[in-house]
Amino acid sequence: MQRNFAAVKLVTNMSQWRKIVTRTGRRKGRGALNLRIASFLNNSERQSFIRCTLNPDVNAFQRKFVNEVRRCDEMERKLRYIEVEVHKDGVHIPDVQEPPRAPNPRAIIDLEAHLEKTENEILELSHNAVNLKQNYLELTELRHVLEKTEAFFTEQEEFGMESLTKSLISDETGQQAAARGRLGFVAGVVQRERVPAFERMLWRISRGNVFLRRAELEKPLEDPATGNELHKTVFVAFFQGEQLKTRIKKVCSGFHASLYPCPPSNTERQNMVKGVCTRLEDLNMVLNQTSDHRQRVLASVAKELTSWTIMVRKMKAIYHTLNLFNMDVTKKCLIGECWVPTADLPNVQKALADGSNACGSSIPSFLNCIETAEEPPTFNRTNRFTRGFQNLIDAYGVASYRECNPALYTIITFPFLFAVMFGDLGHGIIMAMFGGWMVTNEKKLGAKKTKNEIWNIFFAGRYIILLMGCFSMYTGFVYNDMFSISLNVFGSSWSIPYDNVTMEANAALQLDPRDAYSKKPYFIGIDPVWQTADNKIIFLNSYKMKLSIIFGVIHMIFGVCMSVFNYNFFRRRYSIILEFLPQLVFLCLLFLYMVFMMFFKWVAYSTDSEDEAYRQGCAPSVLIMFINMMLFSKTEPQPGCKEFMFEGQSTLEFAFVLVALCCIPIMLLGKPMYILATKKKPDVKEPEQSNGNVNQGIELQETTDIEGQIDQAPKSSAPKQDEGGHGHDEPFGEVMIHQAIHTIEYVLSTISHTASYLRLWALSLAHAELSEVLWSMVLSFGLKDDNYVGAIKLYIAFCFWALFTLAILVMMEGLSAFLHTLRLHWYSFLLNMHL
Amino acid sequence: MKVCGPKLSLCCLVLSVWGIVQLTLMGVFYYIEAVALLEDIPLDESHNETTVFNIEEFKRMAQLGYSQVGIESVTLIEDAAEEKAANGKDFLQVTTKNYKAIASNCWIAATMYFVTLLIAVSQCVWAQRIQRAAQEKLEEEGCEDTK
Repeated sequence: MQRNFAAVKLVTNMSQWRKIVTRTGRRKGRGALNLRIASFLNNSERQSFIRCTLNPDVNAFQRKFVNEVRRCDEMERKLRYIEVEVHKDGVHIPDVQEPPRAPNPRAIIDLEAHLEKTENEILELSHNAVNLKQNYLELTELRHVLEKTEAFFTEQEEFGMESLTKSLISDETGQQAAARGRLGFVAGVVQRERVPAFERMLWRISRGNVFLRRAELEKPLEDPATGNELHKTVFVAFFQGEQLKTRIKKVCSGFHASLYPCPPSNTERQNMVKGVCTRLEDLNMVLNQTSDHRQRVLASVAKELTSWTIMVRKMKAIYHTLNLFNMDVTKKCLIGECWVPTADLPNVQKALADGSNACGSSIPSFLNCIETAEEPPTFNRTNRFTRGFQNLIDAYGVASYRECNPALYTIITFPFLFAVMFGDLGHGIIMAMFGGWMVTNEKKLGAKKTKNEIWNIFFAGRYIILLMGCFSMYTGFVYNDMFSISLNVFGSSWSIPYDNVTMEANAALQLDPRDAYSKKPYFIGIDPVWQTADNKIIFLNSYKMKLSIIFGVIHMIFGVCMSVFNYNFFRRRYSIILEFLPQLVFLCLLFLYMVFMMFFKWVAYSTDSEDEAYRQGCAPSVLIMFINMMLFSKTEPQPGCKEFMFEGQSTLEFAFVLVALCCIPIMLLGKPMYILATKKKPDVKEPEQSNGNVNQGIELQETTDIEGQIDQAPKSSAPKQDEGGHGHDEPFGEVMIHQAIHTIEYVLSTISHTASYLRLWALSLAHAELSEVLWSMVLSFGLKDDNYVGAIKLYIAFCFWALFTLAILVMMEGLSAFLHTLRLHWYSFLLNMHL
Repeated sequence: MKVCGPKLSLCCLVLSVWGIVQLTLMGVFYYIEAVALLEDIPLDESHNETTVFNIEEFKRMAQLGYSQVGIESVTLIEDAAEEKAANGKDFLQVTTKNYKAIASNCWIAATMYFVTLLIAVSQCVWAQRIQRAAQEKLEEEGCEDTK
């Protein structure tokens, strides 16, 4: 299809810009620009617009293209109707290979006419079909009535022959019945579920003088209108007297029972059955032909249906966007304003030029940049790799314009912290393979549109899953854990110093590092000897706990350091000294010092140390030391040991605590004092700072909806910054309260967040233990037999073990580790950064 | 021949590939007597413990007896130690035997998974063929309709 005329082309682009505008994501690039787009339309095309926009029925408050939108709505409704009909008949709707372009106005009219025609055709067809089916239903019912009543009558006749006195029926001659006082009957069908009530009602109105016979129809009938199944029952009611007949008829109509004429004589009935049968056959033929025709119509429609739907949607989107444009005073051009990333400006200009060329307009569409003081909306350019991570960050909060974007660092920290909790080589391989499969088959899987929400979530996070899997493989390797079994890749550095006799005599022996350890550490990760050790958990707990604190403190310090970029960008350099520095010093002197003590303990204490005080028995608990440091208290050391790790530690600690405590008043009072001091200076503020006039400098008509909408986007992301940035405007008391809250929150959160990072250890421990339990409870079941039955047991045990590994360890544990990582990032990392 | 649907056969396929890889490797590790897997093989623990108990008991009783008699003999105790060593050798042999037995069990199970894999693959191929046939039929119908 040819490119459309300028306005539409321009508008198709506009719809993309609108997305940028309404999106309150974080932005990038050197300042987004305010765009003003004017499109002059040449005469021929303008007419199609003017006809609608100058419609006298549309009052000034309505949008200009409201009619078009309405027409699109109407077309959408028709398309929906057709789609429902197509689905009802089970016709397959083929997918379109290439999405069609939006049609131009003339094509719209054609499409509209076509849709109208199709809809009418289908409507008529279904109407006819319903009528025919109604007929068919009635005839079938009549046939059933005749066939079933046949049985009643013959039965009754036989009965009547035997005891004439009790004969109730009008027999073939009818004379006997007439002599007995006109026994009449009514035959018909009623819905099965209504039968009991119907019978009781007949009994009551006739005081028991009606004799009802009924027989169920075995095959359900089809409701012509809805296509549902109907279960019905044939009945014949015998009665005496004309009055009773009218009553019975009333009851029948009340119960929606359909009555059918039933001739009393046998031959007549048989003739009638024959007639009905031939009519049924004819009708059946007609019905088949109609449904064939309908099928053909629907199949031809189904081919086009998807592309029509896309075309109509595009068209609607275009008119929606055009509605956001302003009409020029001369009514000859359309003007719109929007935000565009600076990097995209050439693309926009090219699109405008292309559109103008395509429609052969003498005056091209053009684009102007407007100066504005407004806060641009946030926009982060993402690709399919970074999008997942950006979404994780945006879910916590969207930063304001050009605030520093932590999503970039999250790409590494997120999978890493996840992997610390999920550390298992085997499970990591499974996860990485799943992620890798999704990444390599990205195009094929992405083309498959599915409504499965869980799958869509997984697919959107495919790169995150892949990275998490790879990092888990690494941490699993370091933990030396593969499905809870250690791998002895580089050769353990522990050996057994005992002879056979000693080993025979003792159930458990302790290895003294002095003799058993080869003095060369295992190349990377945990020595595999620990897997067989009884005190494995005790060792791993202390190791992982320390690791999690170290990672936590580093992560938090990193988060705090990130805030420097924000302070720098928002021209609040005083905050670097008055807020960032005390925060950093506080964190470092207390918690980084604790990390230092851990490393010092690892390095300084050893079995073969010269000094008695640095032997294994003397290593102090880091936690106790830290608590003592904070409380200025003491613990008595063991005999032969020293209380402190190095000379002058107590003085150093004392100084650290004092300095850290000194930081708190700076955090609390620094910024309010600074603001108070600068406030006393004469105000040289710029006259008007907020939301400048977008129209400055360009003669155009008054602001309309479009500006209102655009304005809202930046406003929504602004207040976060306002808290601090517009501090001058707040009264001093409020500044004080804000600062107090921030300070208290920060000081408390350093402690609680440090503790909160212990979840890294806790989850990792839980994961390792669970996988060990699964191995020893399920898979070991198949390994305990040394005969060949063991192979079959192993076959079954492995199947269960694999399923549980996938369901519990990879899925459930993975999900929980993911949530905990998310929590660590949101509260412990981002909170520090944005405070 | 159709036994199971496409989803189940895909699931079996993945499971059996995993089974083949892991069980073969485990077989190799058992064959080379990896210490990490020691806990999973059937150990004759009762034998070990009872021996220890008996010898200790025996030693204690013997010492008691000797002290009562008033002479001290080392030879008997040495005999006991030798017996213990013999027991230890026995234990090692049994363990090695068990290691090999379980290695072969692992390989047998891996072979069973290989059979499962063959069945699953044939089922997958079958399911795909049916699906393709259905699609072709649908397309043909579509063509007829347009005619």
